[in-house]
Amino acid sequence: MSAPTDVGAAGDFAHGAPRVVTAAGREIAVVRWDEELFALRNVCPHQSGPLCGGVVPRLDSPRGGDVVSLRTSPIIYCAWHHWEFDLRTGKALDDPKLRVKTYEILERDGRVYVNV
Amino acid sequence: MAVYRGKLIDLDVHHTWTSPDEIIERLPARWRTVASTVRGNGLPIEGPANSSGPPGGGHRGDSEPEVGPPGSSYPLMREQLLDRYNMERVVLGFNTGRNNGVSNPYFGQALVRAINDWNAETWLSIDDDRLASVVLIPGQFVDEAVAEIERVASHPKIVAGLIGWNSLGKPLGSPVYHPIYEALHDAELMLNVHIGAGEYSNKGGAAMVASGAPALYYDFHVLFPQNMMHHLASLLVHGVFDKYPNLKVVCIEGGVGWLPWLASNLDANYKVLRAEMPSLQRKPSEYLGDHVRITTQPFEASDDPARVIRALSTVNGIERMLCFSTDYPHWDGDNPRYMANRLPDEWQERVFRRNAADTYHWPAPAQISEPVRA
Repeated sequence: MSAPTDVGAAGDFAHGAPRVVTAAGREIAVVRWDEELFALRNVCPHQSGPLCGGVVPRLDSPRGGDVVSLRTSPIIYCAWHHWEFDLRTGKALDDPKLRVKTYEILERDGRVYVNV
Repeated sequence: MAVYRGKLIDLDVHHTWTSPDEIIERLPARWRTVASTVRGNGLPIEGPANSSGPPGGGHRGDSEPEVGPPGSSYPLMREQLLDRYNMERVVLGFNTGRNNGVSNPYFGQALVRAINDWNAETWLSIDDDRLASVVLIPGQFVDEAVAEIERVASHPKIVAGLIGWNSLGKPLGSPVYHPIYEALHDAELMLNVHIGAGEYSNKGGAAMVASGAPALYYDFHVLFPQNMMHHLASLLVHGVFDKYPNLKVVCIEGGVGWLPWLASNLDANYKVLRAEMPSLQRKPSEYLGDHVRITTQPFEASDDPARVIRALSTVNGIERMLCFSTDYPHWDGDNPRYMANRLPDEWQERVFRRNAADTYHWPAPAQISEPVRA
C-alpha cells in the first residue's frame, strides 16, 4: 500500500463544505462533518456527475416512518441529479446496489491525509 | 454494447440572460415601467411559476457561473457541454420558453419580441456555428405569432419555432394554430414543443398537468408528458401533417415511454373514428417516422434498459424519431454515455446526430472517432 496522500491543511476543510482533492490520480470529495472527516470518490455511479453537490444531515427514519434522529450520519448528494449517499458507508440511500468508493482519511499535525 | 463514437447533436439546451435588465432594455419604453413594477422589483418574464420547486433550484449544482444564473454563460456552456461532449450542434431553447405565458397578453407580446431580439444580439452573435436556436412564439395572438416568425425566421441560426407555453389553452392540432404552422412551413422551420406547453391558466406552471394542480413537485415532474401526449395526438388526428407536408414537430423533454401506447391506440381507433376527420390520409402511426421527433431526455429509467427498448420497438420508425438531448443545465439531464448504455448499437448514430441533422437540414461535418463521454 502506498503512503497516505497529503491533501491539505486541516483548516482548509470546513464543516459541511465538500472539497475536491486529487490523490493517486483520483478526484476525491473530502468532507468534514463536526469533528469527523470523510473521503469518497467524486464520481456518482448514476451518471458520473460530481458527487460534491452538498452535504446535509440525514434524517434517520424507517421508510415512511417518523424521523428518529438527526445528524447521526450525514449524507452527500450529487451536484447533477441529487442522488444521495451515506458519507460513512458510501451506500446510496435508496438503492443498496449502488455504492461510492470510500477512503481512509486521517488528520495529523494539522494536515489531512487520504489513503487511496 | 458498443458506444457511439462521433459528434453529437443536442436538441434541448437552456440558455438565458445574465440579468433581466438585458430584456428590459430591449422592451419598448412604455413597457419598461410595467416590467419593473409588476412584482416589486422583479420581472415576471419567465411566465407562470411552478407550484413547488425541483432540487437545487432546478439546475446542476456545478452549472452556476460567477455572474448570472445557470445557462447564462457561454464559456461555461462551452466547457461543460459543447467541448466536453464534442457537440456538432445544439439547439438553444431559453430557460423555460414559458415567457409568453405572462398574464398580461399585451406585455407578453412585447416581451417575446424583446427576448427574440436579445437572442439574436447576444448568443446568436457568438462566433460558434454549433449554436442554433428557435424563435419564441408569442402564443397569445396568432397574427402576432405569424408576424414574429416572419420577422425572425431569416436569421441563419434560427431552425424552429418554439411553443413553450400554450397560451390559448387548446390542443396544438386545433385550427386556431394553423396559421402559425403555415408560417413555420413557409419559412422552412420546424415546430419545437417543449414540455410546459400546458394550457393557459393563472394557476401557473401547475396547469402543465391535467386533473388539477399537483401540490408536490414529485407528481408534477413525473406527469410532464401529459400535455405532450395530448398535443401530439391532436396534431396527428387534425391532419396537420397532411396540410403542411414539410413540417416536423419536435417533442422536447416529455420522455418517450408513453409513445407505444399512444400510437397503438390512435391506430386502433382509426377504422371507426376517422369518420370524424375524413381528410386524414394515413393511420396516425404512419406519420410518426416522417413528421415526429422526440428528444430522449428524460429517458425512461429502468434497471433493465432492454425492456424499455423492446417496448419502444413496437412503434414503427422509432429509430428515426428519437433525437438525443441533455437538458443542460437543468438538474435532471442525461449525459451521452448514460444514453449510449441504453440504446441499441444500431440506433446510436441516428439518435446521437443523424435524425436531428436530417430534421434541421444540417450538412454532415468532418467526423471524429472518440467515444461519447459521461
